[in-house]
Amino acid sequence: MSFSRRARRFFGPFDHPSSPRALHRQTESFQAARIIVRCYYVVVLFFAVATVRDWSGYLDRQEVLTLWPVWWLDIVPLRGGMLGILSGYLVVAFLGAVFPDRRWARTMVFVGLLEFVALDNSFGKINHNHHLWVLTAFLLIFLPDIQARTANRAVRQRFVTIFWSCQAIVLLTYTMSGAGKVAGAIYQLFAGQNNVLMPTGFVSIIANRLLETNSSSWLGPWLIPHPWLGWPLMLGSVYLELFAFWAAFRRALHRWWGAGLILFHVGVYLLMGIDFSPAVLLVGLLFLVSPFQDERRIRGAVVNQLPIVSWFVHVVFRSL
Amino acid sequence: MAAYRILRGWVALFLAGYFALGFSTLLLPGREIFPVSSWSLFALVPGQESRYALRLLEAGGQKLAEPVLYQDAEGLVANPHSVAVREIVQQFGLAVEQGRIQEQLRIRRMLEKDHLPSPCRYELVTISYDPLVRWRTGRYEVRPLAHYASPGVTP
Repeated sequence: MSFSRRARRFFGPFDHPSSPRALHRQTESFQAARIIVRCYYVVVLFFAVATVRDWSGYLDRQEVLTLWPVWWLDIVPLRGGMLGILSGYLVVAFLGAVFPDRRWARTMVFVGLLEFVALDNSFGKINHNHHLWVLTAFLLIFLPDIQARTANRAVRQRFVTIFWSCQAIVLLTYTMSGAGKVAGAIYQLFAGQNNVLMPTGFVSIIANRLLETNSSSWLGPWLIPHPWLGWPLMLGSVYLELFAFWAAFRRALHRWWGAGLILFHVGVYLLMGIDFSPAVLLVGLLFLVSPFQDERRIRGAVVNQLPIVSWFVHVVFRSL
Repeated sequence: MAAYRILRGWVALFLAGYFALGFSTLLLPGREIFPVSSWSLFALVPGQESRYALRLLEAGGQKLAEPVLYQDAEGLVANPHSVAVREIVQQFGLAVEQGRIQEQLRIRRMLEKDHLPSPCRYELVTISYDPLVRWRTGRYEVRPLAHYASPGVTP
């Protein structure tokens, strides 16, 4: 059995019926993915235009702790270098929105985004707001250059595979976050410490986050004295994050997992004041309108594909 | 078909590589090589925390009645609740304790030019606390590490 087939079997759903409409579905997915990719580059343009109001804030900065993609800022006049990155980002984002079918435009968008996000994170703190945009912009470079009418089956398949890889890398980062939390919990459990799987774990994290910067949030101060209410939220978040990558292989889950991750980010904002809105937008684009989601409603499809839960249901029903 | 197989293999390699590289960045001092990250955010529950912090003694030429933590310095600094400053101060504290002079100077320049009022006297301290106890009682312990004055003098 090949590696990719083994991976599909490991991450994919229990019942994996081959569809007689596979070819038809490939064309539908391709058309939908193409529209989403166009929207993707329009959103990048929106980000670049929205940045213009912050240009003076960037240009007033007098010191940078440069990340590797903008190392060259150390050897050029800082203000001029930053102006080059900001204006370059705007120009390439515009080109990307107009010519998303051209690889040269997508490559320039990736470089512009990489430089801008690296600059934005070169002031002492790396935040992860735009990491997923950088990673997906890199993957989208490899989309085939095509006209919709001339795309044959092989080209369509390459297109949807690259699109799927964008979904997969986004979900993989959530799985890594979930795996980190589980590993951390196991370590702290054996060390006899409080951990994320304990009732007071979540509220300790919230309290520390708010105390560190003496900031507040909408619901955090209220939840801290009520750890039992926060506990199921934390356990649900760990499940959602840990098994996110599985959802990439289970198309009935795409929309639901996307909605879950967006709610997760809304919850994080309300409780901890951490804004992750660029990631919310990307998750919405890739999953709420996933081109692989089956529009037909199949009873029990979602439950049948939920990691662990589907296995549990399968075992229980088989034993009855 | 061969081209598609290569593409699929490449995608699998990219995903596996990101996973492996991401977690291996945990071994690095900065715990990240942008844009590769372990994404281990809030993986550990804070117990008895020990963090670096800045305390202002004098701001904009005005001597303060008692030292004020940067995050409590509403009206004295532009953005007392800045997460970026919190991170910069952690890097600063590590650089001071490990005696990395060049990095200290660089971070000080950034703090003094972009985040602290001028002129200013301030100290680097460590604060120790249990988050839930501090949340309820406001109690924490302070240990001063070094004094600074901006622009550019270390008393």
